[in-house]
Amino acid sequence: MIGTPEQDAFISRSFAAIASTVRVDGTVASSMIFYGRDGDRLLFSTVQDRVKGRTLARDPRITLCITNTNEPNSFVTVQGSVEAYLENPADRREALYRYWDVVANLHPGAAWHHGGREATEQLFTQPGRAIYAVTPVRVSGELLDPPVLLIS
Amino acid sequence: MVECRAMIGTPEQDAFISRSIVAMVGTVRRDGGPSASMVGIARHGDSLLFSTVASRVKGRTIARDPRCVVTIINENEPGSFVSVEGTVVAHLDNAPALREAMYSFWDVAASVHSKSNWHRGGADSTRKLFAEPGRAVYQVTPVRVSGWLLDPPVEAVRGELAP
Repeated sequence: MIGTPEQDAFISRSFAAIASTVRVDGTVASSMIFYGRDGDRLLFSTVQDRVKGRTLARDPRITLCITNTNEPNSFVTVQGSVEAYLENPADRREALYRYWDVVANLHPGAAWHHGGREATEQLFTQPGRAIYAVTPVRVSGELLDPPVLLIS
Repeated sequence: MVECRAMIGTPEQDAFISRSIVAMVGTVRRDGGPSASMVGIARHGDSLLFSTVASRVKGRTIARDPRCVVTIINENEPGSFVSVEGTVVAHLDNAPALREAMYSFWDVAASVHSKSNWHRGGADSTRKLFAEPGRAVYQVTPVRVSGWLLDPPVEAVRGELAP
């Protein structure tokens, strides 16, 4: 379990987060990632030599602010430490796809519905891609949205 | 959309900022690690405004290091974001004029965010909350802008933006 039962449930019905890492000058760099839950770790894919990959190679500390378009006033922040799988293991990619196969059904506008597994696999197997696994250290956030009907 | 003469990033990034009301604010912790949380964000000319409690994590980290990053998201456009890195000034007098500027922005921009607290009738409770003791207005001056915008905005094309 990651955080409280409510935070844990929010994480399990979401797949987008703003990832913040530390630049060499000590400032914070942020960008959007799509994660998949793998037990108590959160996985994502990015290119090793882009900002996220470079900053994480230097400092594995990361903060994920998880957001959900169905519940726009809520968020869960997961501070943690990243382990990089630079060999881009197929079984970790598969874990991502399995997660999105389920969770994307709660998000009618999700990109996963356009191209899905095949298009994503093509992107995620490009040279330089790697998988990053976040182990949570501290969890916070606010869940302000009233219960919503997730599938209309 | 709110008319703004000034520019923060590209015209497309500017337009996205002008139709969005939520952001993740990233600041630097004492130990150098990244801290981040969600705020209501309002565009004010070529600066960005948000409110928080000066003694909470965001306020304390900013008091120590004014460098921050504001990553703007929009539930109508899943997958799109604009990240504005800059320096932040704390208005510890809780700047009434800047608070009014935030409310004016949300009065317009929140109309396309039917699930937002502001749109749902939370405007009065927001005004009450932001006037509480210890609250301050934070103003971000952009230094660097980046991001990813899906073109065209998915929901806008479907005509679902209007509440």
